[in-house]
Amino acid sequence: MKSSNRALFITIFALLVVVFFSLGSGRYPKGGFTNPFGLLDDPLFKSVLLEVRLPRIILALTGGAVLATSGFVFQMIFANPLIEPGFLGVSQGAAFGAALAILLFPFSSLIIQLSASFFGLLALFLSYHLAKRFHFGGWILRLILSGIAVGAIFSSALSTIKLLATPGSSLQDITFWMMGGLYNSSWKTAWTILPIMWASLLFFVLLRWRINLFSLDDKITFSLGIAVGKEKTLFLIVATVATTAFISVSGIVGWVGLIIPHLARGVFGSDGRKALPGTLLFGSIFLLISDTLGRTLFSGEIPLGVITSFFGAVIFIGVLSSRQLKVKL
Amino acid sequence: MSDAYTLNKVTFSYPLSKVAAVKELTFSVEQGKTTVLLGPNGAGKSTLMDLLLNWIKADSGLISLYGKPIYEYHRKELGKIVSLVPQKEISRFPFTVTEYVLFGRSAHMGFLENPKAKDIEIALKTMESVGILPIANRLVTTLSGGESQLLLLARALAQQPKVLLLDEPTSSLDPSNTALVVSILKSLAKENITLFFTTHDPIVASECADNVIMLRDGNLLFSGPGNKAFVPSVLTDLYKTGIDTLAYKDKTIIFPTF
Repeated sequence: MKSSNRALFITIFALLVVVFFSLGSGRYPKGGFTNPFGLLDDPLFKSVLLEVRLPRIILALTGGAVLATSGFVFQMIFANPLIEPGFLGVSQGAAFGAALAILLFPFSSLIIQLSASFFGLLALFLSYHLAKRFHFGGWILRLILSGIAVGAIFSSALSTIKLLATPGSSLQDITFWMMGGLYNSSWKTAWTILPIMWASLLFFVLLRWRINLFSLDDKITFSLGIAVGKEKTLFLIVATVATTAFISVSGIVGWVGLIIPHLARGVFGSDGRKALPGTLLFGSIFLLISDTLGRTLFSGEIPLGVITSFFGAVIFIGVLSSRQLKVKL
Repeated sequence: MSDAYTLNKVTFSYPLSKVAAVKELTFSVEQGKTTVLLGPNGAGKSTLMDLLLNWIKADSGLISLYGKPIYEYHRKELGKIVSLVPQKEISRFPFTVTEYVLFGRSAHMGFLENPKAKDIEIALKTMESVGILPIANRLVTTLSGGESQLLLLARALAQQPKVLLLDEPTSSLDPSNTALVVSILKSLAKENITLFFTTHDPIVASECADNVIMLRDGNLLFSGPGNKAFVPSVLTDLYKTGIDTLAYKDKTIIFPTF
């Protein structure tokens, strides 16, 4: 077996192990060790497992896959290994959009999602065009700087919305939601976003080779016979819609899209044929582990965004310090 | 003799620029021959290359490729006919040489397709033809200047083009790599591939050219066979500096008279 195939196989196995442990860990009606075969007869246990644990785990797996592959796609399309949707203001834009919708239309998850997607795309558009207008630095640096600026604008707009929100109802909703987490997952919330996230993942997996072409200069990609503008836009829209769909439920969960593609490329190489499925699986594992730790480490929950930021930043420092990464700013 | 490209009064100006980058260019590029594009810096060579690639569109005039206006070609269709070897290219991701050459197959593949055994076979064959098969598994971010140039050539050939556009294919190479690239270009010319390239190296130009196009300030200065191009009066006119030639064996040596 080729080494990258073996790595893929091991990753899938690791994923199953993590799912198993995540299902089993956390609070269940009976304390201590219980006979696993008797458990399914217990209606309370069954409901915790199937109605609480399972949708949350599926959301974490799918969300991790979406955040990581979207990061991979962004890095390829902007030919920039140092970005993820959050770095271009997409997450902050989506967060603002969702908060705005919570404030104005508190009970419609569809409107919250649409608003998150719209403002996520708007932020992406602004970052891109702002970066083109900067007159200094290379493309990578300009894009990161404009992303920081656009992200900051949406963050401050978000804070303003919090000031306007009614204490006791929508303010609480917005605040809890902003910390990032899957604590209120249910099948109902899961099904509002799972189809679109699965569809985007399928899109990326099918186009895992083609995505490589967009890491080249536009003129080169064009000369290879690709309608480069149209296809890049399509990839970016799919990645942004998938990311903002997850953010509309989970709040801002950062860093996953930045570090996971690096780790996957380290194991599977740069070619999307292996690196993209690897990124997808790594992302699922990473987010499920983070979420499981968040809900089991202490008696109260640690927000998911807090955990991914911590691990993400630590891994990022490691990646930046390694000699493998060669980036010209 | 049929023509690959026919240009009729092609003019192009960049946005916000008052001066046309190329003006009323009218000439043909012969099918299966090697045409060299000469001109001082800023003469409009890059603009002309971009026009031939259909990367930019002429403001006026018509560019035809095998008798059909270039803008009527579908992007993918054009990718099967014309391929580009850029002067240099930076990949920010460490693909392997084989993976990189495989990118040249995209015009022959469907939107959802991954490279098939046949594509890999063609990629390996072109790598062999330019001599980079031994470095197939190296990462493109670790290649030398000469290896990179051969890599870009291999990728363009993997497109199986009829016309190959090359931008300064030897500018960053040492003499032995220059000789290697020239010999590859000459063997491609024998396979009936139309070559069109820019160069500042007069020796490479006189060695390869069947035909020569000369540009100065966006105007066509000369279009004709190589033996009429490489004469002191024409070259001096082009570069506005004293240039002399010398016959040596069956070659023409071109040199500036400082």
